[in-house]
Amino acid sequence: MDSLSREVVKIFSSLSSQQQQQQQQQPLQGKRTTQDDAFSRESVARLKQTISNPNTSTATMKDNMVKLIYGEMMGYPVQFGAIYALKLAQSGQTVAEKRAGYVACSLLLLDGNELNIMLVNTLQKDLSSSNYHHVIVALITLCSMTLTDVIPALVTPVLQVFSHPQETVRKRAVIALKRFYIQLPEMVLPYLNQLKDALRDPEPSVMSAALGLFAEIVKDHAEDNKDLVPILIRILKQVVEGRLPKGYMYHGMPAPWIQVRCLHLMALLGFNDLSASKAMTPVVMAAFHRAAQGVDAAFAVLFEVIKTLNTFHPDIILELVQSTDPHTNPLLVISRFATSANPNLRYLGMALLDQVLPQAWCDTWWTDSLLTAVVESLDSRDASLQRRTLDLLFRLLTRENSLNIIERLTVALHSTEDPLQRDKLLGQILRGSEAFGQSEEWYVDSVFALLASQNPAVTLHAAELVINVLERGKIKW
Amino acid sequence: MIKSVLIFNNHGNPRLTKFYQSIDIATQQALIKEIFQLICKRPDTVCNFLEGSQLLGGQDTRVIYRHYATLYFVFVVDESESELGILDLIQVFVESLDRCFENVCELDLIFHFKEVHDILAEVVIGGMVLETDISDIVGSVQENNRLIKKSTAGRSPLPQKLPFQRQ
Repeated sequence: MDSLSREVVKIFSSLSSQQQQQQQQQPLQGKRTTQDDAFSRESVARLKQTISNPNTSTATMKDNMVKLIYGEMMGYPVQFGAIYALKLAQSGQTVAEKRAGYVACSLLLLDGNELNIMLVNTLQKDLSSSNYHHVIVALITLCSMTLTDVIPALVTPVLQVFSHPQETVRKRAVIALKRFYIQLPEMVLPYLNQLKDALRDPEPSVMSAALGLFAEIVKDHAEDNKDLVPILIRILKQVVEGRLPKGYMYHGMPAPWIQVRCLHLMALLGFNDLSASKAMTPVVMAAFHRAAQGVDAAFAVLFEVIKTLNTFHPDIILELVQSTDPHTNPLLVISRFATSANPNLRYLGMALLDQVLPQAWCDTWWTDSLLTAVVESLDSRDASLQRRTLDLLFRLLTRENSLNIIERLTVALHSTEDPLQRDKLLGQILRGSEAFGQSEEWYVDSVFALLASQNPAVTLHAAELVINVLERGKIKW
Repeated sequence: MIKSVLIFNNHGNPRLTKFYQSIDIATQQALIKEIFQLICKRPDTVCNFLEGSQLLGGQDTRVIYRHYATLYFVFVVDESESELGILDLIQVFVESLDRCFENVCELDLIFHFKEVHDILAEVVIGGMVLETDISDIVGSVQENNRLIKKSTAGRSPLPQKLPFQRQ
């Protein structure tokens, strides 16, 4: 066993003995002391000493890096290792050594560090290496790059490997560019047309990565990228018809992740655009029909289909809900989620109901069993499910049901401990009472009761909102 | 986008943490603690999703997790990710670990800390799903290992193997 393993064994044996003791006590208490014993300040000090030894071989240095990374995970100050990490990334003999150096670099270097310029040099060198493993190591680092002062000098070298013969290089280059786009969009936007080539890549993994890149770009620039519509239609069609390699089948579904990504992008492009929505609806429905027969992974696709159809131009969904045939009315599938015994599907069922456009609520798909499911979820012991359902309830507010729903929201407000959820509920109650209240008298009574309730969420800000409403006087009812 | 991937055991000790945004160490530790405390209270019969934690960035953030034997696998994502897609992705990740380590258990994550990082980098990179085909994932990990396997010794024998089953 090498020195690293011995150290780890020591760490582990102290961990496990402590844990046994803990199991008899409170599980959470004394957690900090366990970790202090396992990876202590002394071992950090020891590491600081050994790492600075100039005669250390790169192999030992790699072990030191792993310790650094572990120390960082445990929350110790290990910034001192940055320079050694950089050195190892530069001079590592094997790919693994380089990689360990780079991982430590990306953990330890922060924006504005003067070492970053050396990191740029090292990355540029590796990106132009003839050994594609070195290119990959550099790209992996760039894929999680958060240093904005490093990115500008690397856009061109990454674009150069964009057409590399190796598929594993290309897909990582795409993701690196996505990371660059998130950090500094203006650096990437000029190359948009070149990037679109990746969507036509013969390798599905590269194409799938490109879908992720464009999801990010289209989010901000939907109007300028309508030319993606036919490309997406072709991709989704290809996937649904099962024309991808066998490896992409997942539990009987062809490439569910690619389908979900495609649908997500389509939703962004079809929003508020009738002609684009119309063009994409047939292939979305094809994905729906393919998934409607499936189980497991199919639900992810079904969920995304419903979401996409409801994001499209409203005409699309309004036409589809006319039908009572489960083959043509996709909203009928919601009950498979909402009334399921599986808690995850139930949760997503509530989320789906929340997605449906208000205009599309009608008797063709909204049944009593769905209503029962909503009521049951509201009383669920599962806080997540309850939260989701409360959101849905707020969406369903009308003047007729406002009394019940607002009472329900108020009960939830007083029973939750989570400050974030409290603020949200209070906001919903105030907005709901204002828009759908029964009468002025009712509004004043219920809101005053709320303000007097001493709930921690009731702040001066909430009171000001109410005063505003009162000042405006008679507005709606 | 995936904001972070965390693995911790039933006591909340981190076994792997990967943040795809830059977050300082103190906040990272607070986050791990917060998420653990939220998740450990949830029985296995409820859904695998959690919404908005204050530290994580509020309402748009969701936590999706799976519990296997002694470990929690937690993905923190924004609203653009599909919940079920991520649940299946966790399964793909765990199955890949299982194939690489033959019956993966908590000890593997400690002893092969770096390899686990490498496997994760084949599945998720920079907050993006890179590959979902298990044989592709395992294939590239093994190829990398072949490149390294000159001086390094084989896997050290483990004192105890815990079965690593789906809940």
